Amino acid sequence: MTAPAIASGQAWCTFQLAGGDYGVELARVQEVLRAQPVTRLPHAPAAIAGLMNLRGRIVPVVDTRRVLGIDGARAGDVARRSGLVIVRSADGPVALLVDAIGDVRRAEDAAPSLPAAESPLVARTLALPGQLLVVLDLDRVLERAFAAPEVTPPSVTPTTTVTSPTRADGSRS
Amino acid sequence: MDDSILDDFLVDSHEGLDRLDRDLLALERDPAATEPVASAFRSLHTIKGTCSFLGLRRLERVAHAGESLLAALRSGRLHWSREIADALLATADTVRAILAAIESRPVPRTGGALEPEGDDDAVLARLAACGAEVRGTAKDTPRSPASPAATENPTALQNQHLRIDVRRLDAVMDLVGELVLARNQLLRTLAGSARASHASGLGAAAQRLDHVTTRLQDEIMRTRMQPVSAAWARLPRLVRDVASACGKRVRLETRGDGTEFDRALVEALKDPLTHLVRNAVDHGIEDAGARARAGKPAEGVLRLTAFEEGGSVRLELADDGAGMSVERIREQAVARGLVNAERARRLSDEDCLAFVFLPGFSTASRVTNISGRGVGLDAARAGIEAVGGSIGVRSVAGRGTTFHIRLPLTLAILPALTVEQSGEIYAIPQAHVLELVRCGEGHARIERAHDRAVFRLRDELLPVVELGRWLGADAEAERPPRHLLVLAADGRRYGLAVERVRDTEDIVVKPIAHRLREGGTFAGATVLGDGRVALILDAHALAMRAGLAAAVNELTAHADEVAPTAPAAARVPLLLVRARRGVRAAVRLQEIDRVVEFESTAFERLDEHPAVRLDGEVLAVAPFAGDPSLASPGAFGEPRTWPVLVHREHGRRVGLVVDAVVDIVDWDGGEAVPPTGQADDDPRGPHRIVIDDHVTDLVTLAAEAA
Repeated sequence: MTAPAIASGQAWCTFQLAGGDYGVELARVQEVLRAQPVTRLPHAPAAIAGLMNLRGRIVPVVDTRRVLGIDGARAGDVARRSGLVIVRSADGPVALLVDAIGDVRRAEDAAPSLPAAESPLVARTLALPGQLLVVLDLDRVLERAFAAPEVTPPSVTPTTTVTSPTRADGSRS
Repeated sequence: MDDSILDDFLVDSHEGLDRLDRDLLALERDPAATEPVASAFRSLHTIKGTCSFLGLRRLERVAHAGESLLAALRSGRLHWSREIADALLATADTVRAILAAIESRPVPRTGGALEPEGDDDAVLARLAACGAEVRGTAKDTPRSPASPAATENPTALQNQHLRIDVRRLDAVMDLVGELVLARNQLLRTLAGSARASHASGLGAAAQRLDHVTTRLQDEIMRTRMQPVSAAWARLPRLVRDVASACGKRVRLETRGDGTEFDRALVEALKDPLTHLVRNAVDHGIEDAGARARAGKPAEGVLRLTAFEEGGSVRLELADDGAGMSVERIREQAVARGLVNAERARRLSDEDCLAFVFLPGFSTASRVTNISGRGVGLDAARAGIEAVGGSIGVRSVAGRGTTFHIRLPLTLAILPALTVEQSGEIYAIPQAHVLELVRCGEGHARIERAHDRAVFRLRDELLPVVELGRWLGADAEAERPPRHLLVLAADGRRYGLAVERVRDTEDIVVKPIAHRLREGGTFAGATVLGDGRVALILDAHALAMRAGLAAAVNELTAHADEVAPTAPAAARVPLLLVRARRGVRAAVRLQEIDRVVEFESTAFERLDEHPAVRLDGEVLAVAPFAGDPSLASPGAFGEPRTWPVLVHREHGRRVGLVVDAVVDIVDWDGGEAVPPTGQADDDPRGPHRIVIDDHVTDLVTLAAEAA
């Protein structure tokens, strides 16, 4: 199985996740930013880190590590990651939270691509000089991020707490 | 041809068709009236004229036939009949359908045939049967010179109006929203360095910016306002069609058509209203036989009323039909396992009626093709709650059913209370907040009854949602709540325990990505003064999702056992104050945003009117109950503090100075009499009520500030 041919002039915005190099099509990237405060969105899918303010617009932030199932994606880690890649989606801009932003790589640099990976989230893997670049299928990544099961809300009915009777004779307890 | 010409034509034609519907229905009521005939003629004539200019032959042909029938009516050659009415309404429908097909063509619409292929012979035949003149065939439509009537032109008023693309207006609104945020940010920064801002003169400039921003916000909001009648323009027609399909006679009466609110809300209201009206005609109002047996006039009445009340718009839809049987709803609720029989018996009638808003709940005995498939009321409620509104129902068996809808005046900017919980900030619309209570250390505590958290508030057991727990904060990180907000949603009250209350601010509501919104408990998000995102809590969804809906019923029942007093629902919390002249007065607590104390020195004079600064805004203050002594220049000479009641009038904050706040009491809603000399029918004037054996003036604030 071979990936579709690469059009000349095609370019990728690259970034790091847990030491590996990843990229998305440059044409889909609106801008890249340094880390911004992210507001947690309770009861959202697990791979949604929260919401951020992009010049007055509320943009969802995707925890890219978590979508890809990369080890070490713990909730507390969010603050340590330093880059945001703002990509365009059908539902408006979405921010991808990444460890660090890399360079833009162009098709001229590309060596032949490796056989397609088994993960449906990966469009192709490129062997660039000095770097193996995993190009993500952005739409599938976003699909997975928003579809992931919600973090189960804690029960609002803890039963272990001592009941305080509302009448002196305790008839309610 | 320019697309914008076509767009204008489409908008104008839809308005013309709505007007046509209205005129035809007016004629049905009074066939002798001449003005509706002339107006209907003009509407169709205008459409025909433009179609001819745009080369829309199919539309032109249909419009012409309808117009010729109206011309015959106008000249008295023909007389009004049911057949003519039906044929003309069918004409309007055909024109609408063709317009819709044109509208759905991809932009740019120019090039090629605009009108879809189709044949209008059926409607043309009906028109011809009534005596209309039908020209040529669809393929061969001769152009006719404009008839002299074309000169009956629109009024000169149009010159003062400008048609603005809604998207442009929305863009301006967005920018004003940004400006408000920037203003908040600036004021916050300056507040942190008072001396620097004073020395540099920045403070004064910021004040001016603040003032202008507030005015701009106000004005732009007004341009977005639309009369509520825009949401119900199609309803008379709907009532007629549904009624004749069910073989009933129903009259729709509307009041308060001029009540204005945000156009986004007017849009959001259309579908829910359609559902409710359809339901009322199909199920609410009985057929003629049943009405005769019940001694009611054969024609049913559907009354739609809109009015503004304390920063929100209220709508009431009342029918004089059979009403809903609370007993049947109770049985159904038990049969569906929503409550057990034991609890169902204890539920108040009002609580039982609320079941009709649940998905799939229907008491309609037969399923018609119009409504009654168990969808409708839940969809109507979802639509209204999605824009921050609420809906309730009251029904008296045999007398009719009334739906109450409450909507905010605007969606775009709303006053909110910001609270802090587990390191994040949340905003909650002020409209839902009834009261703020301290709890925890040294104050009343949140207790647990059964497995629920409750709070005792003046003999009432209030179910409580603990925000931290509900948001899923780490147990260790969680700090004990120190404030409790008393919230109102769906006509019920509950408490929201939060770590800390921060401030009130005007927030700009921003949408959250669509995919994250479904089933969510957040009404949206906003950007705070420091640029961070804060989520807006949805009081209804919070209550629902935290499983409170059932709990509230249960607790209300228990509260009745504990304290056998009047049911809480009938009580109105009042703020008792001493007006300056020593008179006791009361205002409904829900009409007040908050109470703030000011030193005498804080009062400034702007154009002779006293004002104070609050949250970086200038707040005009007026003496409560019109005490003239406060209007005099020396009124605030004496050093002391003055409580100021802050409330909203047309979306703008107004302060009312009182001598002292005495207490908060629950009023049982008992007898209120207007003082002698006042007209009985002025519901907003002060009324005398008895509180703790004292005669007290109950003042309605809307009138107070007017």
